[in-house]
Amino acid sequence: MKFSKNWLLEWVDPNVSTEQLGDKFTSLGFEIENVIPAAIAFNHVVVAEILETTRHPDAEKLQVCTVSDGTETYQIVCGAKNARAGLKVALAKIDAVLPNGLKISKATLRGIESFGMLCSSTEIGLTESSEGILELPADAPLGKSIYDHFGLNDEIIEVAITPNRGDCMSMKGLAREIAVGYQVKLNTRGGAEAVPFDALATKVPQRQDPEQKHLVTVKSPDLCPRYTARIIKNIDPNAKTPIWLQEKLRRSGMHSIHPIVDIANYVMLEIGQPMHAFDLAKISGDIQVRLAQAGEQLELLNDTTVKLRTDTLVIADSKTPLAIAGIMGGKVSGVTASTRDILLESAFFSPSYTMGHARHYNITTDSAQRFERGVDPHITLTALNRATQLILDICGGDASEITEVISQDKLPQAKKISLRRARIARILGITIADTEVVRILETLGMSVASNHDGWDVQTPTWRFDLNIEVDLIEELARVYGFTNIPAHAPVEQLTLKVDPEALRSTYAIKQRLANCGYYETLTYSFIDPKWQDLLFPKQESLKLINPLSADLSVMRTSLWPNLLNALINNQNYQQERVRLFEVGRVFLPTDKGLTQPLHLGGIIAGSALPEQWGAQTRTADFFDVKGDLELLLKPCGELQFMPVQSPILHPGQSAQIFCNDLSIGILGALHPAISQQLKMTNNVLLFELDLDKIAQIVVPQFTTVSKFPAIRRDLAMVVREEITFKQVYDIVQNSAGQLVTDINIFDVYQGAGIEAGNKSLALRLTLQTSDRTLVEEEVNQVIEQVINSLKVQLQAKLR
Amino acid sequence: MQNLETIIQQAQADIATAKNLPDLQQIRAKFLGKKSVLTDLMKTLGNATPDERKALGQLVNAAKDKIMGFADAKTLELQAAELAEQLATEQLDVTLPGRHQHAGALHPVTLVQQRVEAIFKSIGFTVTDGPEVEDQFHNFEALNIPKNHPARAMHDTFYFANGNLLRTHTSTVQIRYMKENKPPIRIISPGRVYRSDSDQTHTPMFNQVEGLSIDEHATFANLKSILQLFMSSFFEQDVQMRLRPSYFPFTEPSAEVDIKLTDPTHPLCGKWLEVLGCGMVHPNVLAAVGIDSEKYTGWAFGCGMDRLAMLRYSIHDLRTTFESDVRFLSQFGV
Repeated sequence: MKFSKNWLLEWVDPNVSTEQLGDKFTSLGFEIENVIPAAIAFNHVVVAEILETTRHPDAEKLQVCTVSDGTETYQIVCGAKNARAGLKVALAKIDAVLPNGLKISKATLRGIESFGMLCSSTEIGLTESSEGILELPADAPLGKSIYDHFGLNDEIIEVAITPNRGDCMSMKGLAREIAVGYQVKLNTRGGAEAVPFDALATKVPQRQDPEQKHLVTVKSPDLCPRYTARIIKNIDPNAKTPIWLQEKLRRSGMHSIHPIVDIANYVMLEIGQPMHAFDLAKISGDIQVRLAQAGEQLELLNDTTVKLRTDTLVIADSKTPLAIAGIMGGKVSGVTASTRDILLESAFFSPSYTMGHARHYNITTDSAQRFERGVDPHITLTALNRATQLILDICGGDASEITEVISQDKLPQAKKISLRRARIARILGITIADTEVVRILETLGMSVASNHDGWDVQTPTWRFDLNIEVDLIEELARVYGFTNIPAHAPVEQLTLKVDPEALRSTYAIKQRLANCGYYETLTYSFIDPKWQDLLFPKQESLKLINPLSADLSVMRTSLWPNLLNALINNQNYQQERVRLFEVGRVFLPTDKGLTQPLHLGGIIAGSALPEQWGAQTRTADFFDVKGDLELLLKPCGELQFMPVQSPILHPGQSAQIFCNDLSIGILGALHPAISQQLKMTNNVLLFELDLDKIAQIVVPQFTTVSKFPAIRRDLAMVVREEITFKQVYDIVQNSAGQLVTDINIFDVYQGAGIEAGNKSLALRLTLQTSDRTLVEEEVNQVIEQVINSLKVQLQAKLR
Repeated sequence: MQNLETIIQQAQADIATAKNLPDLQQIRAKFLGKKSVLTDLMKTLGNATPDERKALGQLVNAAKDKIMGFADAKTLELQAAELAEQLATEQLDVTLPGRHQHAGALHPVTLVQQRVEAIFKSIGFTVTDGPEVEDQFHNFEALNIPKNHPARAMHDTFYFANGNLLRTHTSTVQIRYMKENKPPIRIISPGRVYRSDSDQTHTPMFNQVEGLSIDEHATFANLKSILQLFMSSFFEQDVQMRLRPSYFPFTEPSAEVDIKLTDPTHPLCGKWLEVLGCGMVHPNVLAAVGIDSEKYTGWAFGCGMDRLAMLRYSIHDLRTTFESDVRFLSQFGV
């Protein structure tokens, strides 16, 4: 909320700097968001009067004015139509520099000299647009600086009001806080006004004419426990909002619209009561405050037409809804330039009704914001009278008696809360003196009576956020000062929470990949549906109903889309060699509902090693990634990589990964067709693992190292090329028996010397036992068995 | 035995000319081998008298020893020369870079998370996690944010058609954990959260860490103490801290915490920086999970880990942390 510092000072003046004031607001829970000067400073612009005007001899649209600032007279050439004798104006004298940067100097316009300029309100920075020159009231003092006259030496303070503090969305509310913070008195008259607000009701002239009183029926007293209204007839359609009021609105971030609307807004800003004025001529019959009926529509002031929900409260006449209660008025019944008679409304709509309604209609209004946070039900009449008086002063007219429909039992009742002394210490960890407790609560407007273990407290009607004991403790802490509460280290019984050794931390996993040259990345969990359609057209995915943009609208079912996207982006930055991984959740709709497992996904492209003098450049392939994963997964148990078919991956270069016979993930080369479609410049390899399944590791158990020598034997076997290493390995493993401790493949060869369609596998078998040195015959026997098994089962030949 | 002297002189001269070990081996064979002059000389001893034989044998053996001495000395000399030559040829340019895979890196938010977890684990906290697609109960209702509450407007929430949502804070994990576990409770919960917002300091997804402590004597003064400890340990310097009253429906009292770094080398030294929100757990929240708020009190905080990463590693634009640019990521190698 924005407000003028000077306006606040009319209500309460603690005599401090703006910075100190800001710090006080902050310490009370109101964050200062911005402080700016109310106007760009200017000088040499003074109040002056036009003594006489004559037509410019050579220009139809110009007038030559004789202007006096009380001491001197000036000849000014002016193009504004409203320049006329007797008018008080803002005269920019020679050497004046206006807020827009314009420097005034002597000028000659079509042969006539001009010694200054008559300013419009825009030219001195008061309004964004204006017609003609600024018209000052007749009693404006001649010669006075315009900057001072409008109190422009002011600051606009923007303060954040948390949703619980609707009572502070007015000058009076904010001033009340400052009064508490500085322990000074609040000026209940609200500044310059001579009459205290509470006495206004008796002061406003009323016509005792029963015909002028409008009949109001409230059909939903739960939602609207108090409704007041009055008619004001014969307002002056030419009345203008005075500059002082426009200025207060401007410094509160509001525009001047129409005197009636401006006054309603002004009173809202001043004491917090939202009000609405209807054009009486547009109302047929009596006023009903009722729920909307099915099918009813309303064109709102913001030019949108809404279908009304049947739980929406409307202000209606005998035919049709005129406004959504407390949220926004209707276009048709609104006040316009031609309005002569109005119905002015001031009401209390219950917060529980207002909450959510503005959001439902997707509108934010100052009125809705206040009602949904809670407006003091005791200021309804005060506001109506305050606004009436301003209207009569500014627009003239005749005010009727007030119509009031009130359901006392439905109005929010003052809350009685008991506050225990011990509980204050229990929550805050400090003791606040009894006198201080009472002082703080009372200055906040509560009535306090002590009882055996604390106090009985009655909350003020404007505080909708004080409901239970801890709310009062919060108030005490806030005013006592959070900074005055010391830091006390907690004293606890020691407990030990240690992760099992067999559970590998995510960091250990991430660190191992980083050690293999991967960079960790973090990407959004929602992706472009185009990626989903391209890669996983058959996989159901979860869609956001209100995404930030279409390309962030589908919850990912795999980490690959973002990794591929990251690769493309990096290629665009000339980063050809990329190794990335990410740990994040994927979102998989299933028959049993949504699952959200944590996955680990990775991508590599480009050369296997960074370009360097000491190693040959080679493009990374399947076995580079597989090697990285074997390193990563080794502590998990026994691994198997089985060929797998995936539409995304190269059919001959993809594998499903099993650990201890449980599927844990997949790896492979990106399918060449997709690679081409994505304009990849490199061979791309991908993997994705289920993080929970690779977090479990085997705690190592030592086995005795044999003291006897190991014997190594090399075998070169020729098999058909479709035979997998795994088939060979399994046969060797099964036929070799206990003595073979390691089977290593050290060469795979196809080419000269090997019949086409075949390949040669060079295996190195290590044989060892822990109780003796092996003799030649045993070793030969094992090797014979292995060779025979391979010959029989795979038609292998010894090379 | 003029002859022997000549032989020794000859051998000495020949040995001196040897250029390498094989040369030397040949020379050694010529003078000391089976077919050498000295061996021949020894063979003639058979014809001599025993006394002559003894005397001559001694002389021949002495000559042999002498020649062997020359040869051994030469061997050492040649070996040293060969080693020197080998070393000379094996000289490397040690300033050339090593042969390697490049060093990878962890994401800055991971570095922060790791550090925050370490700090809180060291004082007995457990790390927990929860789902990111949540229901309204865990994200709002149980946290004292009923439907239509204006506080819901503070959270620009992403929704799904069935009414579920992407969690807007990690406070959801508080609820899940408190339903399953009895006090005393001390947890932190790091994770991704989502709000419909995007500019230089907001991204629609970001990373938060939640802290929660519930027991029979937790106070606001304790909360201040733990946060002070957290901040000074995390930034490894004296950190000034300011708690401002604020509003969160799930805590009462509630505070926003600003910190001021005191290390003059930090670019943001001396400025108030907003880092987290905290407060005493609202009795309604405890009631929602069946904890007696008369017996137990608790405090909680929620802190943006991206924000901490930006402050810790001097990152200016939050958005860069989610762009996967290797020129950014490669700077966080550890």
